[in-house]
Amino acid sequence: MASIVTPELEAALGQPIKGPSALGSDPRRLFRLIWTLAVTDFKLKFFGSVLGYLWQIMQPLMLFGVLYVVFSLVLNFTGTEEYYPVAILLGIVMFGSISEMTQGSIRSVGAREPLVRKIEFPRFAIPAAQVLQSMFNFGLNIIPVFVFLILAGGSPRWTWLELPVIAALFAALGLGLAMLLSALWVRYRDVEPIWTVVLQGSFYISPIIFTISLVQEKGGTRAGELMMLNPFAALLQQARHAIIDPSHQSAAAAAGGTWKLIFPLAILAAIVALGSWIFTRMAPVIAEEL
Amino acid sequence: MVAPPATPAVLVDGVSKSFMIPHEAMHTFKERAVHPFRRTTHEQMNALQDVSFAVPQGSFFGIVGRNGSGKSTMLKCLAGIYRTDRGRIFVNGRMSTFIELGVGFNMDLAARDNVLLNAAMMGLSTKEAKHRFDSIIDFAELHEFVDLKIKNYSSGMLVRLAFSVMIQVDADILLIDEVLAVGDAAFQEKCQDEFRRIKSQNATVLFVTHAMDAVNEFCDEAILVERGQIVEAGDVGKVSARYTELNFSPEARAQIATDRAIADAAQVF
Repeated sequence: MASIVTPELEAALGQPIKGPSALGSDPRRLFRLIWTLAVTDFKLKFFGSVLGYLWQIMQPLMLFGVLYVVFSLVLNFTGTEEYYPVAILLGIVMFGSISEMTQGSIRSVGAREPLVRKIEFPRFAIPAAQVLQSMFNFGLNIIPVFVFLILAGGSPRWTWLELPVIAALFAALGLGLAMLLSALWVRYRDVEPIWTVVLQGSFYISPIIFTISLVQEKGGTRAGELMMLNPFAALLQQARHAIIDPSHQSAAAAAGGTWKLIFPLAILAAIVALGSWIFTRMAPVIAEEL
Repeated sequence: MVAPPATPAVLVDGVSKSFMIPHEAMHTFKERAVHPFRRTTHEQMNALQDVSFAVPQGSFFGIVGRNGSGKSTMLKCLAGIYRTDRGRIFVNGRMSTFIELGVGFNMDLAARDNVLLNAAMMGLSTKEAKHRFDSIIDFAELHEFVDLKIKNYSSGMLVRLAFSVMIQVDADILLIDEVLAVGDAAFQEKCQDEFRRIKSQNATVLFVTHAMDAVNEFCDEAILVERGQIVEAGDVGKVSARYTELNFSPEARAQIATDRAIADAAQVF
């Protein structure tokens, strides 16, 4: 059958519609959706119970208590750095946050199935809203870190201003992983248990419950440099250096030279690129494949 | 000089859409790893085959067809939910889709928050949504229940809220998938009035249904879809006559008989 579109008609109608995509056609709507979804879920969690904030910080604090007793008092993992307990707490808060971003995102596309299948919805808004919501939580959970630091005798420093930059890179890492995992989940449902195992493993290969000086002492500087290849570990190390105390090495020092920070940054960029690529490719068919 | 032909509101040009239905779906990495060389066989279901039509501006356009004829697939392609395999769809104006009422409603939130949430999904800004909040609640007649969590609403109240949100979006083109048959008689009457109002305001409406009386009452034009193809187009009377014919054709009866036999068999087990 010949096309019913004449050239004049085509000129009058403009571009044909593109169909479903990751970003949609209206950026303002996309941002509004990300914001509204994240704020709604955050509010629900936060105001869902009277003690909302208390429950929110309870989980990292409890874990912190247990780990502190075991690793600091029983096993004596304390390195040469100052404020070891606060450093563990920061590690737990950051790890909890990246876990929440990724584990919350894996099923997010499935959980919001009506949005994907019943209206025209920019798919990217779904993992992005999860990451944004987790960053709100991160903002709350990091408050105890500062409180404990001050209580332990630390004092405010100008390097605290690095926090927004670290947080932005941290969110980028979370978003890259969130896009990757949520897109893969559409095809492969066992991404979820696999990721749980990966997370569990990465808890112990990142300097969360131990400090970098301990790694260097037991495994040599090479081990420390190797550990800094992991973008999460590098971000955490830099956060400790900037927020807690300069006795925590900067990520550059632990990596064995500023230029070696190229590696974790390149890995981070690769995760974001791979995540966006796979997510963009899956976005048009999510409605059919769910 | 010849006057240029009026630009249609929606133009569908040779659209095809098929679904690949795998005989044995592989859903995990584990299956991939255990059977690396197994090719899954697919069955191709052609939901739409080379469908073309134009919807004139300001018309109330019906898309009718039996279950599984492809009419909802057509609507989802128009709405930008499915990607078409072939063909182009032109949309001339701001479009809004209502395939299901209350999409994105959160049961744990009060009506107020849900209205704002839903408005964001429809593409309204928070300011616009707040501005329209009163008229939405007015239309839904839910003043007393504005701060009640909607999980405590009756299903009728929920539908009223969802419908009220939906009609507050001023789009040039509306895609509606049989949402008329909701609510009690009084509310239905109100909805029908609302449809008449929309019609008089010169918005273009694409309406998917199998309720022939609604088609006869509202639609200016219609198409009949059967097995992914348009079998009748244009005049509403002709389309509805053909639809009735299709429904009572020997083929349709045979299908009903098979369905019934399957249902009976299912009951035995």
